[in-house]
Amino acid sequence: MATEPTIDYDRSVLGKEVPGETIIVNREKILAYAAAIGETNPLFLSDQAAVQAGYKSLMAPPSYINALILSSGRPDPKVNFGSLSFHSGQAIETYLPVYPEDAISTTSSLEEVYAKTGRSGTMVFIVWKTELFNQDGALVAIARESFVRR
Amino acid sequence: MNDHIYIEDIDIGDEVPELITSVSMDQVSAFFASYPRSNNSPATPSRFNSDEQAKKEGLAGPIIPGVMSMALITKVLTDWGTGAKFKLLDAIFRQVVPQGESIRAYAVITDKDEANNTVELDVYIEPMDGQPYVRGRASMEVASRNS
Repeated sequence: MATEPTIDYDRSVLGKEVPGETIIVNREKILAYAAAIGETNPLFLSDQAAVQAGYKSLMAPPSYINALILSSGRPDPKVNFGSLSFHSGQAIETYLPVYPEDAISTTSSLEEVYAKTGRSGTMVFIVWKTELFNQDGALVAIARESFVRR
Repeated sequence: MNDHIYIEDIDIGDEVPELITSVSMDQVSAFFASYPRSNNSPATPSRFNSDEQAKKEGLAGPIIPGVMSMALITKVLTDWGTGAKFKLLDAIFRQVVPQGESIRAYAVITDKDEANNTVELDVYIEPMDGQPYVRGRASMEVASRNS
């Protein structure tokens, strides 16, 4: 089995939790997001429909979680590999709805840095984990962003 | 939005109703404008809002951001029917998704767990003929007739 190369980066950043700016969720922004993706689901457009379905009001589509993640303020792990970087994947896991006027706070940390060698050569993956909490301190969602360098 | 669905009626291999769409540069701009804070200002040329900048970066033309591809897949899942609730999406951006071309977003049931009311799905965004631009997996909670 081939051994992946050792990656040169600032390991002191690994696992260090960085609080993000709190965002107050704006109803108009939710509706604008829904419009931009052609949303027709009444749970994301109508208070009345959402209340009838058992929710307290209309809510953000689940993918709106991605809009609440801010990368500013994250420490630079100084990964010394490759010259090209791109967004290679993203995962969201949701636990609670996001409603207008929710105050969403985040905590991000560098979860892992690893190398993978395939037919096109070696690539280094950098994975950030972000936990999102509402104003009650309840976990709303977890997101993982993967960036690749080659 | 489709009718009520129940886990007992779902079979492995079933396909969730697809979304066929084409995303314009205006839609991408509107998408970023809906963010509470966006790093993608329309005033700054990027691969998302400028044909010239996209070509400078070696792309054939402007592209759809990965997070917007995720939004389209999530829409497919949340449109599936009442009784189905989104839990997880893990997407891999295999190729860039071009703006202005017809794309197909869909999901296929790969597993179901009636004891826990969950189904697992493979998800895709593809050109109308060709290999997937985006693929991944998702998990949904689906209501039971017995609860």
